[in-house]
Amino acid sequence: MTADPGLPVGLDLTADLVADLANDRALARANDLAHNLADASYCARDLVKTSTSTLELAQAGASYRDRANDRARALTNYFNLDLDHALVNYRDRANELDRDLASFRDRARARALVRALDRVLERDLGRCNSGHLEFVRHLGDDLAHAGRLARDIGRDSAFIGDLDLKPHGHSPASDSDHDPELTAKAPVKAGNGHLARTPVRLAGVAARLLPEGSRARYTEEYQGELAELAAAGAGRRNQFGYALRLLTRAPLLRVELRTPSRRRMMP
Amino acid sequence: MSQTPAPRMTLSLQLVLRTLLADPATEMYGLQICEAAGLPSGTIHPILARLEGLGWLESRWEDIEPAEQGRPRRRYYRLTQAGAQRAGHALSHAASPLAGIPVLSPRPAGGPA
Repeated sequence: MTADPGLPVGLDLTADLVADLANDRALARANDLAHNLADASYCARDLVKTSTSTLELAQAGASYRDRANDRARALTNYFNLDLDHALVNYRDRANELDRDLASFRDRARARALVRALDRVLERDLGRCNSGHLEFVRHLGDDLAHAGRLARDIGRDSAFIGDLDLKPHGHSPASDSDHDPELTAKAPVKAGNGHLARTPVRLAGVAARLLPEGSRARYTEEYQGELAELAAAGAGRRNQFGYALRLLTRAPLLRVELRTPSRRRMMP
Repeated sequence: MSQTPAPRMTLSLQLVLRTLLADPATEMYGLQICEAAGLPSGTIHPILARLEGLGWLESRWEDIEPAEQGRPRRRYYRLTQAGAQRAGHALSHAASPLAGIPVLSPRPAGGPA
């Protein structure tokens, strides 16, 4: 700055000093400002850096969060699948248990049914046995009686061996005296057939095993059938076989004639 | 007569019933039934007695004079009306039906020795 010519020299110097001082202060302020600006720029840079770091951190955090979510989803899926498998397994196991229980119930029911059937069969068998025992008892009595009669016939007529021979030492008269019932109802000889006496006697024995009220009827019926056989040409052997069958079945016929009401009740 | 349960349908009984049902209106005597049923003679009397006891069968003596005819009188058997029905029913429901068994050839009750 140039000195004002109107001013004294000392004032010029002061003005210069003032001017210098003002310049220095301006410079200082400028310097300060510059420093401040520099600092501000540094701060700004730092701030930017910090912001960047924060952003990066945020991004990293978001990334971690995403990964964490993925892991969580994966784990959840894994556990869900595992749970599903476990549920399926448990359901299968429950179904198996249900089937076993149903099978067990069926077996228990079947066992109960078998036990009930056993009781029914046992009861029916008991009834059957008691009925059969009575029948067997009657049969035994009848067979014993038939045996005694057969022995009597054997003694009188010697029919074992040579059939239809006149008994040794007997006369026709003593035969009829011994067996008036048979002789009285002796069948009429039919045709050319010869009616053997022993089958007739056996038939008479068979008729004697029957209840008293039925003897006359069956005596006549048996002898009539023997006469038919003889008329048809049946020989002694056939006639004897017929009479023997009558004798062996006489106990059955006796039971039928004695207890027709019992037979009605039998299943 | 009250309803009576059917007798046990043995094979012999079924054969006799089949013979009688062949012509329910016809009377047959014992030997005739034996021959027709194919059973040994002398074996059917218990069966006939059982059927008579049940009321399925009725019997009567032949109305002849043996001396005049030269032979003894026969005992004729015939199914009653109810007996024929029950016999047919029992035969059709028999546990071991005779359907698969051919008719047995009549066995002569007697013949030349």
